[in-house]
Amino acid sequence: MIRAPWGPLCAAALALVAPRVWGQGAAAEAAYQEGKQYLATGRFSEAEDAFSKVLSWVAPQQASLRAGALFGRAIAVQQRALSGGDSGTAAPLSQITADYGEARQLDSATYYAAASANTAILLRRAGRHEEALAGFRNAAATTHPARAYFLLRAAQEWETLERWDSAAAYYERALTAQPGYPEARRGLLELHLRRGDPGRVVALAAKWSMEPEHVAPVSDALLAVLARPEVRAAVLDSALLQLARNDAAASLGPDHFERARRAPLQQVSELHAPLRQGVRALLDAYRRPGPDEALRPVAEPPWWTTSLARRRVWSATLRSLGDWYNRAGAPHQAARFYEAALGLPGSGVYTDWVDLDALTPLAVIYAEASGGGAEAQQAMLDGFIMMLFEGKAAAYQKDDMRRVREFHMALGTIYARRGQWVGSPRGAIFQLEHMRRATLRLFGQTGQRLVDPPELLESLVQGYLATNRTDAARRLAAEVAEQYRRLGIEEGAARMERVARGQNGG
Amino acid sequence: MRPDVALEFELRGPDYERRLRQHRLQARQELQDTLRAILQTGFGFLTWTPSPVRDTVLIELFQQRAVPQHGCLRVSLRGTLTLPDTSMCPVVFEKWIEIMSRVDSMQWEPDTLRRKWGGRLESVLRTVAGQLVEDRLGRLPLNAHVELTLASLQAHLAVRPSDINAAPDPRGLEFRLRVVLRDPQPPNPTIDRNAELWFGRCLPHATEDDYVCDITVVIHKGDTLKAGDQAVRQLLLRARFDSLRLHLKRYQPATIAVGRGGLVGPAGGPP
Repeated sequence: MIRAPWGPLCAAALALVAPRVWGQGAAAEAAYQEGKQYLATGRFSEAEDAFSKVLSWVAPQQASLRAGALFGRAIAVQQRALSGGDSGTAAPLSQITADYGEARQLDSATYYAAASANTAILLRRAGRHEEALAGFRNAAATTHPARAYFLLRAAQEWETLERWDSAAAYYERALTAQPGYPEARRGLLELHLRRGDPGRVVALAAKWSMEPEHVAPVSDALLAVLARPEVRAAVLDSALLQLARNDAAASLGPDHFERARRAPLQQVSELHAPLRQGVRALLDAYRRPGPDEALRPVAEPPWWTTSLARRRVWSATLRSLGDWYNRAGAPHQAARFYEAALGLPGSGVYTDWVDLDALTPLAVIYAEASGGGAEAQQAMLDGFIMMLFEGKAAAYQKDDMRRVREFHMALGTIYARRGQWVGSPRGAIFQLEHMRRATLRLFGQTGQRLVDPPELLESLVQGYLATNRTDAARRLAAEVAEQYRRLGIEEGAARMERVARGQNGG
Repeated sequence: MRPDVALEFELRGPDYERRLRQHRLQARQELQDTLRAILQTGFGFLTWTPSPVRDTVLIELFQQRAVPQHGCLRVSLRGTLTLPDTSMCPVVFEKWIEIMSRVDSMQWEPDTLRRKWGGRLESVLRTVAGQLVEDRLGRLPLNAHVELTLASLQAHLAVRPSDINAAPDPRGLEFRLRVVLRDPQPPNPTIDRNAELWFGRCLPHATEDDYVCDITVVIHKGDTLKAGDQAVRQLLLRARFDSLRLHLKRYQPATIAVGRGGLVGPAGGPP
């Protein structure tokens, strides 16, 4: 089985397969083990000698041990050649091919794939690409754990031979053998670039961009498409949109953008007049303000507002930058980006293109804003209330109960921390009760049984107690005690049991 | 060749602490071991040792102070090179709602968390791998010889893909050579102690299987210069370079482990 990408490296893979030893094989077996040790420690000439001894001692019918020694000797000599040689005698390279060939015949179940591929590597280095291709294809016809790698190497040989369709087919086969194989994805993207098929690159990029952890080669390929003068306008447009979308999904920050994107995008801007406005708007949005620079307004660039697709990407970009500034501890700058992502002031959050992920963090920034005088605070509070109404309405309108629940959860927490229990909607009880309703509706929609966090439900109990709704508090407290118990938080369970028994103001 | 680094993992935050309770230390230890395995495979140009060494990579999983208290991930470096990360939440690891929605103690067992978070950590680290290599982990120098051929703007690096566990296709690789650049040009000879040469478009060397790369960019006196420009070429040809330290700038790990030169063993992996 092929090792999963990034899975733990299997140390045992260092070992050659231990062949069965027959008759007088004790000395041969000892030499074989010695050869393996030398091989593992990079003493290739000693390994070669040890395996040669095995071959001189072992009887022809002891096929398994003989095959192991032949393979060991070939790989020792091949590795010595690759590492620039070491002390000791050097066997001619032609011996490698012969040893691999015999090992493959003697014990094909064990050595066929590896011997074929390793011989192919030798042939490739000698410029004998047709033969190398055959070797990799033979190796790939087995169930060897590195089958996807053999297919990749075969694809590269097809590419060297300028057999583009076959190369593409083999990259695809490598991806079938190991879905998501990054080297095969990169190879296929580069192949389409080489063949002058940027449309195909952009199509693959769109398909593979769903996995943020694999977007690096995709973004490289998109930049390469954008750097070409002959590409059609529609393809360029799609490439820029996909690149910006990927950068937003990967939370690319201004610092990394500066290093990885600014220079190539500036060249794109010079090369393609129709993209110029859009690229410049991106460069401007990602520019980090200097330490003494005033808060930047976020403009609405015309290029990004001329289609729904562009608007969506632009909104996601601004939301992602808002997240970045928020995480960097610059909430006021973050708020500017969130507001722009939501189309505020202006079209508002009802429109189809806004990235609603900007809502909750913006609401929190508004709610927690302090300083700036009473007037400024009131303005923030007004903004917060507006967010609440618009966000909730937008989420309900789209029947997005997951977001509705998340929204009520964050707001309920903020109000509870302020001890602001009453008020509809500006109160913890209202928000937390609606969180519970959203949880139930979500269950109705998805069948997924979610449980509200006991800490938030305890806040609701406190709210009931503070507003003299004792019966409601006691009923809920019994429920919360059970949840705390399931989490193993005994002190919380005890606290809620006291309320349920009426021993805490009840 | 590969610098040694130790790994330290920290886990903190009110909800994490409340829910993990007495399991916190065990969870921390198990996740540290899981992380080391992930990093060894994804950032195999470093040797991730379990014992303390001069350089340590600190990975912190912590909750944001403000609501919503998302779980954030921060990676910093300390030792011979100290590179802290001062962002309040460099990368969101999991949303607060996810933390709060794990309401069964079974979901907070260290082994359950290790499985759940292991996959997530792998995915998050892979997503930010480019930034991590450039800003943090690639700042630790590789111990490798570099031979510059300035007339042809090429560099021969004594680094093989298997030395740094890199993908066989070198197109995803870039290196950075930090140097002291002495420009003897009269009347004002200068010394730039923070100069850099960037290497890209790497290919395997014809006989030795290590990398031959183009010198693509020169960082001199804070300016980023194209190596191919005439004035820059002249600068490179007359300058002297000392204190060469080779770093990775971009990196693509090998997905399927193979040995030197791409050789494979009969059971898979390096021979």
